[in-house]
Amino acid sequence: MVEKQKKPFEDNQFLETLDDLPMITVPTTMLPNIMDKVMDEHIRDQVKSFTIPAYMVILGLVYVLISMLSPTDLPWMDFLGMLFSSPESGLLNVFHHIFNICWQLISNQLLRTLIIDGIPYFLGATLAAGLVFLGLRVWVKSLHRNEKGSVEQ
Amino acid sequence: MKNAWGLFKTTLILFCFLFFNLAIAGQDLAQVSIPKNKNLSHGYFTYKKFLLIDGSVDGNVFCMGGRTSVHGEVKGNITVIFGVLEVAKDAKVSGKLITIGSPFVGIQEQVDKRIDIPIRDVFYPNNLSWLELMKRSILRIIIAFSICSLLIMFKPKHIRETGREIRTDWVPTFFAGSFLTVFLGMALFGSIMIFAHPLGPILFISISAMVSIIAIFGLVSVFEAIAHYLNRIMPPKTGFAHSLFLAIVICEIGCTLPYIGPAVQLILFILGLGATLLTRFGSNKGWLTKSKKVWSA
Repeated sequence: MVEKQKKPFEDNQFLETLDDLPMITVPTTMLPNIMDKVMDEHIRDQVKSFTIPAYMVILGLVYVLISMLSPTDLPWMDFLGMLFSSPESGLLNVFHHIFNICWQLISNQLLRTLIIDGIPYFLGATLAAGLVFLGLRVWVKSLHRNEKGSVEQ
Repeated sequence: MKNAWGLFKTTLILFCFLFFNLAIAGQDLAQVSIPKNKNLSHGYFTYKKFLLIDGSVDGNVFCMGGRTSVHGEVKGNITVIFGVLEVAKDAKVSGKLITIGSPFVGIQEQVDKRIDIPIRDVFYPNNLSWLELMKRSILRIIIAFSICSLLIMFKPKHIRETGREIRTDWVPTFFAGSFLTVFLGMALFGSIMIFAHPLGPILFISISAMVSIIAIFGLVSVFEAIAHYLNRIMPPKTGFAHSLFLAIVICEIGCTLPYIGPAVQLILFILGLGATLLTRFGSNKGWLTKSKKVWSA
């Protein structure tokens, strides 16, 4: 059996012509946008199902049943802590600690003053980081092909 | 053959994480002491050690785990996370004392200049009953399933694109995710290290919020990617919602397995972060360049 060898696409004249052509920005109301919406609806349809609430109800009932067998008297504030806890130390526990520290910083009046004191510094740091990001963006954009002569519709 | 190589690579990565977890478990507390006649001209960092300061330290002291006992002089701040801090009566500390989830032993004057963030340790006792474990797992599945459904309903294409990135290019996704995990971990760690500075606490909260948003989006994409695989295996005409539910249950079981559970958690987290970084939250645009839909005509 003889296999067909695929030759690389080489048509310099075509590529040169393509480069000389003006760039056109397609309005958002055109075909790609409509296809986006069709795709969105298609994916949504896959999830739109009575099975989701059904699973929720079944799991909820199982939870209530187990809670009757093994009641937990933790207050509602410890809900996240309970959610992010596992007998094995892992990322869940790391997140549990992170949330716990954040919760303490926000809820404790004394610790909240630390956050308020840091707001001016934080704004300054965010501004500096934003300027660096913008500078990088401008620099990276300058490396791209110049779109002079493009016709925008 | 290709599948076998992929399976081998996955097993190798899993074993690396498993051995890493086993290696860091159960280390003994080694003692590090700074004797009376010694003056350190720089700060000091310890991890799960018994640090005894009899001399003087000209800088900040940062301890993770273990026990720190100060009898000499520290010209800077002392930060202890998940350890024990002891400051003797005659000890001199010019900076602040920051204890995060760490008990403190000292006199009232030292207690007054202490910033304490208590962390309760009641949610994951060593011997949880299997009923309690099951309850927590069910709670996590309910939350994950509802967040997944909501995110897919509101951002369907974005989640699909991020999931596709994981399904098609999981190796570069894993590397990008590892890079981002290390970066964010270091950022969190750095914000704790400068906790005495006014910028530290607010920086910690903002980075935590950022990590949480990326992690939630990334994990939903991972579940979506696994659900796609399961949808192919499952009988035809099985709804995607069933596959999604099964994917979440499989991940939950994997995450709670003994020894291998933390590794599974880390792998899922890394893949989610990587896909979110590479696809810019599923928009498939560059982080530094705004790509436009341009046609040549």
